[in-house]
Amino acid sequence: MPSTNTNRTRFVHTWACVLACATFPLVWVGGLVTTTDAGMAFRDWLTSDGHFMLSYPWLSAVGDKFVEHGHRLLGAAVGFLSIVLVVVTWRCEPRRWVRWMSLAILAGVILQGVLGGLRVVLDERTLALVHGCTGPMFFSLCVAMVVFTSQWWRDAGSQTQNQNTQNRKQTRLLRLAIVCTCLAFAQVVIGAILRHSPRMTGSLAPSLFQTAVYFHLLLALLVVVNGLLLAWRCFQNGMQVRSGMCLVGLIAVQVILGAGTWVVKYGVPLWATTWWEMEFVNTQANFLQSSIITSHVAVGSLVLATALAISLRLARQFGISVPRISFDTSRLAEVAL
Amino acid sequence: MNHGFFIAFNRIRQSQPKARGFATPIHFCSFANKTRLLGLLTAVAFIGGCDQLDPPAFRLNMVEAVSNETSTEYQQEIADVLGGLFGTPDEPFALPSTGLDLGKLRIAAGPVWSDSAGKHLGLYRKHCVHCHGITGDGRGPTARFLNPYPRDYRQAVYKFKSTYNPAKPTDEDLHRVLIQGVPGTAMPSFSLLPSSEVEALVEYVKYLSIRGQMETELIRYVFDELGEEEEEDENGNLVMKRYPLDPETDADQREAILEILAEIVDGWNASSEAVIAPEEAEIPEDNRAPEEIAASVAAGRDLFYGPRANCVKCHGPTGLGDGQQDDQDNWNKAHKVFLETLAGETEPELVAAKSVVADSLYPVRNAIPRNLRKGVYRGGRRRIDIFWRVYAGIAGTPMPGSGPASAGAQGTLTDTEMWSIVDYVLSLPYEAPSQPQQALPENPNAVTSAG
Repeated sequence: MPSTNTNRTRFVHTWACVLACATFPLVWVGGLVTTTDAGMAFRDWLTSDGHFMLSYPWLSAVGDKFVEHGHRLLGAAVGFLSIVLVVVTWRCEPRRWVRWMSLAILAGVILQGVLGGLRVVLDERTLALVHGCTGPMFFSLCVAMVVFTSQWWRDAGSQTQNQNTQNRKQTRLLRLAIVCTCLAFAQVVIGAILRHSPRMTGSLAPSLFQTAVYFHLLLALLVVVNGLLLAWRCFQNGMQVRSGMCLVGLIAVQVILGAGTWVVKYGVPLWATTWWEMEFVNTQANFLQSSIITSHVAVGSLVLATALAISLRLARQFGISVPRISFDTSRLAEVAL
Repeated sequence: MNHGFFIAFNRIRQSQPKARGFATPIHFCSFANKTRLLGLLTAVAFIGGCDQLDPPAFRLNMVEAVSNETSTEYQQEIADVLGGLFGTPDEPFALPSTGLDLGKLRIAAGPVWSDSAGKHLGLYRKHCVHCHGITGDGRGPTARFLNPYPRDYRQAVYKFKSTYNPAKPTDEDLHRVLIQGVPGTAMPSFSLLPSSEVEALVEYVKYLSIRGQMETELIRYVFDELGEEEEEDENGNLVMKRYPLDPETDADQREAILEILAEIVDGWNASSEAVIAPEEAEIPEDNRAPEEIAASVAAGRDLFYGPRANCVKCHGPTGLGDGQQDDQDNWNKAHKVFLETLAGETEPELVAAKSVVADSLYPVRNAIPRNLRKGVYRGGRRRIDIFWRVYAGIAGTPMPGSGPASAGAQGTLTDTEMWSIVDYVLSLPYEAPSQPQQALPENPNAVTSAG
């Protein structure tokens, strides 16, 4: 195996890591935009109050304008990183489907940006809801790219290429991981409905909110049970043990942040008011409140991405067929950008 | 005659959406043109709120409307008149005679956004609507989960204020609640907001209160003054004639409505004259000797358990709030009464209408007296805050006042006695819990009767 090619694919992986690491703060700041209700800090897009994005005096802005423009700048930065990823991937990555995936990532960031822009231009909260769901999806896509381009993936592929026997335990483990990913995404969607639904000022608002909250709690329970089970099975099978532990840790943090979100926003939950009276007053939009609520949003994306990464890696370990790695230099030469 | 009223009335009436009560059909999915752009996202849009493309609208007080047998025609006419007088959640309006600052209302109302100068607009929707609801009826999305329920502004009854019990709060009172929040409840502090934004919110809260009061009075006006009656037609046959609520064409109705509004506004304007000012000479010094404080606490304790103040009846012999538990505040009581009338209703049409409204009400909750040993005081922990609670009681709740009900009236207790109760209440969290005998009742009869 030519070492130059290995180095080149490592560079793709490194860049994918850079992109994923840059996307997480984008998700975080996106959550902060909603937490501080800064989505309509500007009524224009692509410009900000008539300024070209890079010429806007961001550092002298305050409050919602600082947050929203910061989100836009981060989005632009991630867009730039995605373009570079496409270039790097098409030049260095031999697997065709991975090259196409880099293009999907670029399309994803463009779509996400347009959704965010249309949310502003149309002042449409439903688009904010969609934007809030597709953001974590995009982050997960970036994480998937990290997994696909990793050395581990290639090594696991070479080990499992001849193993086509999937026993029932493995199938169950993989199914658990996939279910966990789906549940985590469903949580993201319900959370987005709670935060963005424009119907929250309509006549059905109380019913919608109650239903969404109960669903959110029910799904949280399912994610916890599923996550624990998945980690346990990973431990039993000796597969993805560290990732499983990481997932459990993230879910635990997420549960604490979820409870904290309610307390810093609405005080003591109703069922607890008979024996616990809050002895302090929440301060609207203070650092503590903003941090906890936004962290809850961001860690939700991390749970989703981790569950997805575990699913992909388990699938790889179980030898589920994916396009084979090919270092056909003649194919590399065909890549033109 | 008020010219502004008609301009506003005609302007708003054209754009006023149909009255939204529980009796009106709910439009699940009335997409406007621009949402067609959403295409494949329809499913998520439906879940998330596709009907919201209709601008948010105030909703009628259906408990009042159904209780007063207001027909759907009258409900629509009342909504039209209210629209003329007060505008919509996106375009609020107030007659100059209300004294409301339209500029502040416009800052607080409408959707959330910021202008290029960085001025924040849509403050009510940003900070308040989730609990208090778009109409200010205390029925925001989260309300069902909160204890106590968020305040329903429409009765214009506020608990924590510096005025006599029946009087309206002053702007300073509302401002103080916004800045300090209400400890022990979901109401947060808005102390990080600029003062101008807090003032805009105060103005909008008053606007929603005045609008709510006007709505209730209009429903009662329709019930008392309008309706249907039998009349002979040209052929001498008896037919039912309906007298519509139409102040645009009926000068008497117009005059009556403006009179009602003036009375409501007068109530608010009089609040600054109804502020309780404790007698200067009776206000305890800050630097009192420990013996003096101890004497005042002892006197307050005697009053707490004594028959005159009789605080023990509700707050319990230990001050844990374990006295009377089965009373409600005005808001819950109104719903309880409504449910009781439904139970006794026999006319099928009314049963059906009331049942729809009853299903939408939140469970009635009892007003549980405060646990005074926790040191959590919802109306503020300054001595003057607690003095006001003792003096005027807490409006809208079973907590009675011990001071005069209005200026010049005779109260149950003197200022000195009320300050002693304040001292005792403030000392309760520090009373050793290992010595419960300190809190044994001295007025066992009152405790027994509290049952």
